[in-house]
Amino acid sequence: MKKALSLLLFLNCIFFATASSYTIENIAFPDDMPPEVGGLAFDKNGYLYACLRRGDVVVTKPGKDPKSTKWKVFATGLHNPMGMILVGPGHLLVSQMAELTEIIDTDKDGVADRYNNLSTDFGISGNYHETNAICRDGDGGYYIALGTASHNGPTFVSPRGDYSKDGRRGRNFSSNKLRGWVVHYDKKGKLHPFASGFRMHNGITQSPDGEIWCGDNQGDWRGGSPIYNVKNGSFNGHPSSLVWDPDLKEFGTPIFLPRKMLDDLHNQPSVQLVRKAMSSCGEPFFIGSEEFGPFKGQILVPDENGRRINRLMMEKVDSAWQGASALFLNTKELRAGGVRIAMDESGESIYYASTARGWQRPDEGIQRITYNGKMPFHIKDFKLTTDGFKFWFTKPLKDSKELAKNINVRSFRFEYGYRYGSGEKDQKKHKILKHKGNGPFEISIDGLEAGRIYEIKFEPQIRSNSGEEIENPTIHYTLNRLKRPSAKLPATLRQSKDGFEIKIGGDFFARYHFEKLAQPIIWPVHGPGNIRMLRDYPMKMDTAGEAKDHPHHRAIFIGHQKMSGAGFWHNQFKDSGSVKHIKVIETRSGHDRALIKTLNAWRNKEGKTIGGDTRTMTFGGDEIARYLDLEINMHATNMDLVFTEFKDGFVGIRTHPDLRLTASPKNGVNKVFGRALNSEGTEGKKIWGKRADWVHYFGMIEGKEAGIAFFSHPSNLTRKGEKSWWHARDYGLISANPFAPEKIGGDGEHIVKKGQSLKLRYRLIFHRGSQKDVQIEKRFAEYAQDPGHPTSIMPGHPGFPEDYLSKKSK
Amino acid sequence: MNKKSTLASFLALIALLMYSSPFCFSDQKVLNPTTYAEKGYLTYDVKPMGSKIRPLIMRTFAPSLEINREFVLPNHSRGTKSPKYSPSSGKESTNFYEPIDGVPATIAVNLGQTLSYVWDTTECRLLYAWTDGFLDMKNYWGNRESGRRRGFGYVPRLYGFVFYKAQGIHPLHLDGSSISKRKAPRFKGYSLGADRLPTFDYEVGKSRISVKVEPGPSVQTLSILFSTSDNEKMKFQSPNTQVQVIEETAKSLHIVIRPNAGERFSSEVKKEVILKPTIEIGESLYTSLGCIACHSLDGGKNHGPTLKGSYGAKREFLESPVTLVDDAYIRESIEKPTAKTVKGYLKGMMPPYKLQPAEYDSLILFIKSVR
Repeated sequence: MKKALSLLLFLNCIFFATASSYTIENIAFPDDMPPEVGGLAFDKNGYLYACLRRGDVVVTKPGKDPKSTKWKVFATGLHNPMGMILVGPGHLLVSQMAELTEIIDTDKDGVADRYNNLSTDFGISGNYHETNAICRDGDGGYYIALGTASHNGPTFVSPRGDYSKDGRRGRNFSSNKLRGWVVHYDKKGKLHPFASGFRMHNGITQSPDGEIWCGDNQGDWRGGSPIYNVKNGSFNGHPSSLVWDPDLKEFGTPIFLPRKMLDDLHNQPSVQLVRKAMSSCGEPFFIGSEEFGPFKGQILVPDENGRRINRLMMEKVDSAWQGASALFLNTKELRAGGVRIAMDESGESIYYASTARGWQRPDEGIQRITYNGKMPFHIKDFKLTTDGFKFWFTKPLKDSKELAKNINVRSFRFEYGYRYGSGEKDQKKHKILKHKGNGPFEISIDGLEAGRIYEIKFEPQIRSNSGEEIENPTIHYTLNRLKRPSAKLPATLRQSKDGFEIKIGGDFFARYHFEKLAQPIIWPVHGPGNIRMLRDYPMKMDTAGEAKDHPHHRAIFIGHQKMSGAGFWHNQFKDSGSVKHIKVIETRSGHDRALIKTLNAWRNKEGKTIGGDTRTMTFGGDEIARYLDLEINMHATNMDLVFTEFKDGFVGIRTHPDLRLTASPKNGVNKVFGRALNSEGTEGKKIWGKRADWVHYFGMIEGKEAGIAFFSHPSNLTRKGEKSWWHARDYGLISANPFAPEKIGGDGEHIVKKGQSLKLRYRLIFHRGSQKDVQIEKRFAEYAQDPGHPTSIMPGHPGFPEDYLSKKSK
Repeated sequence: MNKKSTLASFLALIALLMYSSPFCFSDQKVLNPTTYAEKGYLTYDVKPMGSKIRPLIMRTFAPSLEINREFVLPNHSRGTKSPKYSPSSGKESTNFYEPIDGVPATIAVNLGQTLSYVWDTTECRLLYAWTDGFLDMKNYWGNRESGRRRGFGYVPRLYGFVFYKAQGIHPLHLDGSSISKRKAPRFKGYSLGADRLPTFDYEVGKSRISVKVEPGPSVQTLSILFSTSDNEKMKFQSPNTQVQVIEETAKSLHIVIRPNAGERFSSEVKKEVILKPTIEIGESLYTSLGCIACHSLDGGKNHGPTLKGSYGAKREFLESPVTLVDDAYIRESIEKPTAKTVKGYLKGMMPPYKLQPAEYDSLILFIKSVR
């Protein structure tokens, strides 16, 4: 018996040699100790602590020979500990099922004797799936990742922490407080919600520059296996956890929210790992050493199911992280179930911990992976350019002339929804238009588009100068954002507590107000040359020469005369509803355009929520013209959105009085300088009530040639499948109304079913100079080609927002 | 007795002994070469056991044993049923998931066959205590080969003989009122002493309370030591529970709790069914259930009347008319011991026992035989 046991022990720690530049060795454990490693860390004396999921924390000082590793028990009695921080020798912080626990060996006898509960301010339902992980915040506090529960398991009659019936619904769910969140335990010992939208973020890491990173598992609401750069207040895609977000409460059960709304709220993953390379992400690990090969600064992500480790090459594009992934190691010598990685002091070795109990056949323990100094032939780094990609190899190429011929590029998108994973949708093959460079190399390709994942395959014909093939020759690049072209006049934002100020090349352009009024508005707006474009009244009462009619025409505003029974146009009326700014989802600034994305609630006069919108406003321009792009997605969150077809709607602006077509002496407007034209060639007052792609008001403002053009994007869907109807008046109101009446007084309605969304896109151009100079037709043609903001909602997934809409729409 | 039934009852007896008897295996005798008690770490053993010298502490989900949720678990939230969900259609059906029995954030402690108990970190109180077993983790941990959970309800299964169950609101009273009347207690952690037993700490109001649970002076009793940082007078008071104060100082309270429950749990879903009552089974129950602690066989007086010659004798009671000791009376006094209390003895000393019919009958046969 004893012999058999020692034989088993021997087999267990057999030494594996590999052909690559990395040697993999198995660290021995006693045969009867389940090495289900949930967390591991080195102390400053070189001792390696490992917490095991059944409850023990064991410690060893790894020696040269991994077979002779001797473990000592340091602590016991933990429940599924999956996160561990070493405060110092004999002093740990562990995240476990029920709490954040500090473990101390107070009498220094090598065995812990004090277990402090640091926080239980989060819920546990009793479901097996609720994982945990922890990382430092760099300021004496910690971030904890709290996984959701699975419908494959139950919840208890007596869970801990607030329980939500709505959170209990769905596949992976958040029945108890803050499940599916990253929470922040600050240095004062208080726990705060930090970021929502996780499914099972089994692993959390702070990067050397202080940012927080999580991987997440494949599953529902996950196209692939995502890697998130976690920001305060962000929603990271899995909706169940939103039940614990007070901002979203009024919109109802999160998993049944319109998917486009969730997509707009989603902090898009920096990298999407594809099924072929990754099943489910373990904890991201930043390579901090040059002794571990040529990849310092890059991220390794182990696979919880497969025998492989991915490598991420990140870059900041348009102020967000995104990047490329490749396999780093993909070998049967690796154990499956990789969850955590720690590096030893030498910097030459990483310790790779795996556990799989509960989701697949146990194959567990710790492996040491050491760089043997032999430079591997890999793609060392991979970046986006404005028209393609740029990359480096770890070794010179034998022959780079034919390089472009031996690279294949294709792309696809992942769709977003409740389904488990996504196929590779909307696949495209791309041509390499040209290539240049001799290390780094650059290729430009056709059809570079945001919102796609590009697969770049390097064929075996590509050889290093010593004749090797590339070890892992496929790259996936998650292209969330294009590289912005360099801007002569950068568009910048400044946020205050009640709005944003937008500047173009340092000159004032516009201000977005979201606090003071019954609906957010944009006012004032200045065109190039500091020309005031809009009426000041009623925000400012004493501007000379302004008519004080229609006080609800507030500069640039959004509303409708009747939506699901409530009025949102005449907001001075007592029975009018309101549009409440809920939160800023995202901003971008400093490039050729600035961007603001917000979430808003549409409430009736009793304050009851009818629906919501997510609106993205983009600002940019040059010396001639400035533009404001609006994409507004109306979401039927709480009920059907019924737009009664009335003339008063939907996006309105009220021009500077000088651009009026007619004067009104009784209202104090004595002289006007405006003319009007629409895309169909209709002029002057007659454009009112007509359908057109655009209308253009132009003339003289305060003695300078100027104008405002208003575009409705051809993709805007209306019930009748026609161009936008224009409520464009001679007194300076220009309003694009997709819910237009056939006859005055209204005659129908446009319904957006509960759970669906309606997308509308508009562009406003504020220019100086003459009508001719500004070339509106050309500008509209460009706008019509603009694909708009990327979306992860696509046809085919049940409940696609446009499913219900007319087929004859353009 | 024919051969068949002798064999059946012999097997039943073996089965019973396997699951219940504290005298079957001693703490030191190790059945499985890789238990916690021997190694000091958790192994693949799904029925881990500690010992007196090496207590096993496990943070774990625990069964709630039908403890009264309103009084005992007021600081827990309430799970509800939830509509079943189809991951393929994204829709809900008219069927429901029902919440299952369980307490999620407990600490279970085991000292071998002598004592196991579950202390809850949310309520900061002892939930129940038992002997002759601990928790069967098989459904939660799975086996070494597949590692799969078993079944939908994988809560560790308690096995052994439960002799104490929390009853009523929090038993710790400070200055005359239960701490249940205050804001929820906050668990602060625990220390391990030289005996490796935990002393739990929690805060309630300004007071920091420490509590340590140990085996009591006799079988199926508990010794509990409370101490407080404040000067509030401590008292332990719980319905249907006999408490003896051992020592009381300004800042500490040492009590012994006598059993207030009697229920045996098998680790298997299927209970071992005893087919035929026998004197032998009755005798083994007499020891394993702990009757031996209070009822002598030789006429000696203890907490309860002796069993010697009791069958057929007349009994006088505190509040009921005189009765002959017959089958019905014995059954009643095991099942509902508070129904009648024999004159000269304390009311409520004996906990109720939930047994199988053949077990009651075996005990009756055994008691009949004690002349």
